[in-house]
Amino acid sequence: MAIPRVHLPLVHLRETDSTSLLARREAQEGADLPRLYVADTQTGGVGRFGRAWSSPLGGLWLTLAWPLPAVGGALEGLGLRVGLACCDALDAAIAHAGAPRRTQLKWPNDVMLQGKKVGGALCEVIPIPGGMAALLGVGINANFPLADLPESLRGRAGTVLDLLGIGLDLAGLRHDLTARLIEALTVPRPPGATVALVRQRLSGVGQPATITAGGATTSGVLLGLSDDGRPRLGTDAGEWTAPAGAELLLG
Amino acid sequence: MISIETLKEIVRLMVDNELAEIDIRDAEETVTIKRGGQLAPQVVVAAPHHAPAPAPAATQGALAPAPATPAPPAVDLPAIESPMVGTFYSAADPDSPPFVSVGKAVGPDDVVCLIEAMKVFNEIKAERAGVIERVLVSSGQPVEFGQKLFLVRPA
Repeated sequence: MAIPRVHLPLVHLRETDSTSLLARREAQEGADLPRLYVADTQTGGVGRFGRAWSSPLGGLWLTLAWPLPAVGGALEGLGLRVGLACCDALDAAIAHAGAPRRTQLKWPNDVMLQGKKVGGALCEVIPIPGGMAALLGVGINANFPLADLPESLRGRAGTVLDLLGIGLDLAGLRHDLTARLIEALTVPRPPGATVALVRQRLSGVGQPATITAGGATTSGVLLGLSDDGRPRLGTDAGEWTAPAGAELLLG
Repeated sequence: MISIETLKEIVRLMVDNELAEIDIRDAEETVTIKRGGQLAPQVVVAAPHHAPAPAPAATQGALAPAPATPAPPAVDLPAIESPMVGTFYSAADPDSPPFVSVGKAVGPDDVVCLIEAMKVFNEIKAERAGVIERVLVSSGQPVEFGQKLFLVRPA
């Protein structure tokens, strides 16, 4: 990977409320960026729209805080690229542990392994003193048993340990994932190339799917992605392409 | 005389299309409707062209008196525009209050909304100082690049 060499301070905590919230607080208070925040456990991990993200010991919970010159086109496709970075890093870690499996990507950036969600990302672009910053928060359910997740999550979520019976090198995974996230932030890639890579590992194609967007819900069968990276559904009324801000539920 | 129902319909069309002023003329009268100030329409009923001009006080309609120094119409106010295609959210999450609402004073660095695109949540700054005059989109609504989100009355 042709990524720039950067000085990346690491803030590693045994426990925090949320690496993303911590990164946000410090960035808004003027902390030097970039900076990587890692926690062994989170007591208040957050996902989309502030939803709780369970973060027991044995997972990888991190947020990369990165300064941005401006918001807009330079970050086009970032959500998909972060998802690909998570999949590629986890594939490499699993292969290194001797149990090669290929993860899939549930649009736009959930990591799926054997049909279970084992990782996800939350990307935020926020104002900070003197500019903007990207906060890329990633959670990987790695080296802990499924029983450590709340019962309500066990149907859809999984852990690498539970699914494959292996433990991952968390430090190696963190290092590789961070490099891939930096690449997603800094190395331009044609949008079509990103979409092509996502199509190769898109989860749920041909399966029933529901998309929520703009307060409306549309159900059908997931057909794939449009050329600009949005999910396409086959519905009773014909083919329909979701808006970029939609939420996809499989099954 | 124009009916109240017709007047209401015209005002609704003006609001929907962000028209600042409209003239309606027939043989009997000329009606001018202007939007401005706090967005209350101003109705000016002019005399028939052949009649003597009425006193200035009689030209003011009942809906809203024209201010001595009219404020710029809302459509002429600067707008905060969407820098990207995505979904507009007025609050950080469903349980939080909106970042801003009509009448709220904002500074250039104040966050006014979120635009989400493929699970990237972009906090959008006002980029100018003023008072939020109008919120032009609903939370959860898809927005386009350059679409006006808010009108801001400069401080």
